[in-house]
Amino acid sequence: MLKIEALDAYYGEAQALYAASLHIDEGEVVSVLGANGAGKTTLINALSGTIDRVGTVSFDGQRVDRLPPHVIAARGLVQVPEGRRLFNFMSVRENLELGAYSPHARAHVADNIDKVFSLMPRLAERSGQMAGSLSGGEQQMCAIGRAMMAMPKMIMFDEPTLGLAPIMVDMVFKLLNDIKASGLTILLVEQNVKHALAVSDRAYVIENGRVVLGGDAAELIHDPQLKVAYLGG
Amino acid sequence: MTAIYIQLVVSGLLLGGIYALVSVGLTMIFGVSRIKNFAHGDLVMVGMYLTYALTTWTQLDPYLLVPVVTVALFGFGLLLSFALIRRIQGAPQVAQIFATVGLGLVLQNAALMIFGADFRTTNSEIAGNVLRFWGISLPLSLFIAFVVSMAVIACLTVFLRTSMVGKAMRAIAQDRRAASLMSIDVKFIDMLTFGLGTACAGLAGALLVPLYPVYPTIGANLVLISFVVVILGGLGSIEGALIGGLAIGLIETLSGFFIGSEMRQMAYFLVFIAVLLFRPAGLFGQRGSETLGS
Repeated sequence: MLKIEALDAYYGEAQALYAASLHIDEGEVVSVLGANGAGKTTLINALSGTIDRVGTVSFDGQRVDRLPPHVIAARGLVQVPEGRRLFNFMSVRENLELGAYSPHARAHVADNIDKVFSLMPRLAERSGQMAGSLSGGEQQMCAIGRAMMAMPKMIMFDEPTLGLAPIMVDMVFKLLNDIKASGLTILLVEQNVKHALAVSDRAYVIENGRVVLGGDAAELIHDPQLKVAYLGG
Repeated sequence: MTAIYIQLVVSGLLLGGIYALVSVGLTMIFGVSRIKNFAHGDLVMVGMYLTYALTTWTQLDPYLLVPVVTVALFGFGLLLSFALIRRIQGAPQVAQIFATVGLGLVLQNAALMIFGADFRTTNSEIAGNVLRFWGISLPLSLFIAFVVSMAVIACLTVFLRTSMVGKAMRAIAQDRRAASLMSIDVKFIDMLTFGLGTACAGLAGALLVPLYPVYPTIGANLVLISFVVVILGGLGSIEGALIGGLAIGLIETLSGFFIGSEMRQMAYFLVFIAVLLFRPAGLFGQRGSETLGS
């Protein structure tokens, strides 16, 4: 589904990702782990095309590393950004509609809103409310629903539980499991390593902008190096 | 005696309607693209001269040419956006100010070269009529300008609320990067917005031709007024531009009568300063909304 070879990414002059190579197969859930500032968000933004990058990224059999963000999203590689980045002064429904902006998704707005509402009934109750007035957990639901409205082939989640109450963290991981069960391919960046590995098939570890480790989630959870670094020994 | 007051209030509001139309274009461009277009008044001037030239050439009534001028200025806006404005999107403020002020100077001097510095007026059969009611009299041209302005602002509001392109514009205004992740082509929408904003300026220009003489630097007055209107109403807010425009028109007319016409600008700048002291985001501005898109 997604194949990345020797991908460098930059914030202006500063390089933040060095020769990253990894792949994600169709239907897989893959986590990217690492400390704050290691380059996880950089990787997602480089894939979405919102920052400068050099390297080879093929998605669904086609090169996407030189396309602008709106084309990449329309091809079905969609991200749920860190901090949710909803359109705060627009209603929940309008946020969902904007998720389906691309022509092929726009044709199915009504069906997909129903699907999102049945997956997250709380959003249906809040559909007329301004997105900025929702609670943190509801905002995350709205951001996930907005991404699903695009009818993606693959979703990249950037820190979906950041700043959420524990009960909402469980809710988000339940949602991730539901989305996984529907067969969508998922790239997950998450601070909560135990939770992330539990939902993932495989994982990569990024340190200082470099991919240093990769393997099956079930094995990585016992990896001594990872244990020391992220699981508190 | 009351007739005078009614006359003042009504003509102030009608004048304010045109200010609102000019300002709506400016506020849309700022809201969506974060471009402070100091050439906006000069684009009104271009609309006025184009109407003047077409009227002189075709001998048609200027009102018949309003749609032509509006569409032409929409095209001109797209061209400017492609050639200049897209290059200063996201650039430092100083670069934006220099580029748009420079554009204004180019337009002013082009007008000076083509039409000279003389005041130019056109005759309109329709505009010559005077409306009389409630003991007051108003030029029909002012009334037409007001009605058309309000209708266009209403259409724009509906467009922004209900159409997908309108929603995309609002989305970009709130979070440009998130909008691009929604597969919105933000650069294309930037261009479209600049085209629409310029069309508003051109339309206002066409409506002003039967009311005021046109000369190359008329834009300087208009751009000052519309920046006051836009900041008063709240940057990026259509409702704000509408209320702000009406308020400035009213203040200008009333203070011109009661205090003296040389004090008109001082009066609305005093109100402007007072509003900014108590509501820095403007009457309808959302606090912080002008920085959300960075």
